[in-house]
Amino acid sequence: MSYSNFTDVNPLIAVYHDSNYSETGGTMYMDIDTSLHSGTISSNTLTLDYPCTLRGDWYGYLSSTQNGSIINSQFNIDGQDKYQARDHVSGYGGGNIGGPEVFFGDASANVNIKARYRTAGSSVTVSTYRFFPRITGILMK
Amino acid sequence: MSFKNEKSYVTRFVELSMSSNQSVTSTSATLVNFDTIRGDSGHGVSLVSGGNGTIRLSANKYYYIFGSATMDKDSTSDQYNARWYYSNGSQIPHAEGAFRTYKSYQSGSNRWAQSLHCQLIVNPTADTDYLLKVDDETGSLLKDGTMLFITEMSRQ
Repeated sequence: MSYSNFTDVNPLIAVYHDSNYSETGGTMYMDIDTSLHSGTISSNTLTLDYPCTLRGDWYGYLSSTQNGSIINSQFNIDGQDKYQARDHVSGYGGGNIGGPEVFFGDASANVNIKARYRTAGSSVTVSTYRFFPRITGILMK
Repeated sequence: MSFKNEKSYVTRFVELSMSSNQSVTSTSATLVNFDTIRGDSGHGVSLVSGGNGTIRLSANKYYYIFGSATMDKDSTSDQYNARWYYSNGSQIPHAEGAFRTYKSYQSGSNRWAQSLHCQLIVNPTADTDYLLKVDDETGSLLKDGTMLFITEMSRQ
């Protein structure tokens, strides 16, 4: 049996997707493929060996024909949607949807961490800019 | 069976700000003139003497930095970016942990989001200088909205 010191672990999290991409659907999960510090990515799912606090943001657009197809973004952790703030596109007006620029989450060790779009409709096309989503944070012991 | 004495990181918080508004007269990259620093005792962040806002981070510590550069713009239409640079003038790429801002704008009729917080997430192996610069717009950088919040983690 062995025990690792937490100070042997890089406590930083910095994850993103390294190219532009578009997705169409209703419930869509964001693509991620790059982890600069701690964290393992498989099938657009991030896992971490320790509990962590997470911060995400998204940059991209909807086409004008999708106006009103609300998009905001949030974490999905261990299969559960998280609602600690939601990012949202600036082009949307009206209704009662608002939100800050960033979204947050908190995860336990070794659970599936995803980021997802939230849309109004079943066939919304979302275009995401290179280097997004950005998922950053710090591991905790 | 053996047991180690489990060690954790020493975490310190640091804040960088400006004591006055800063005039930005060029659309070329302009260094944000941070001149005020406060934080927990023993932190490894400093502002380089005569560096006009150049930030020095200590070697072998972990830094999670986020913040914003807020500008009172001269134009209602132009927008600005905040990007990270090394002291040699090269922009730091995303792959090295430097996350710049992106404008809030509409390209054609598309509905764009925005990303106006900058982040720097690094573990320098030597004392390293970092510069935050704004570009693409003139105006006044506001002291009340231009700040960096730094979490520093170091081994005991």
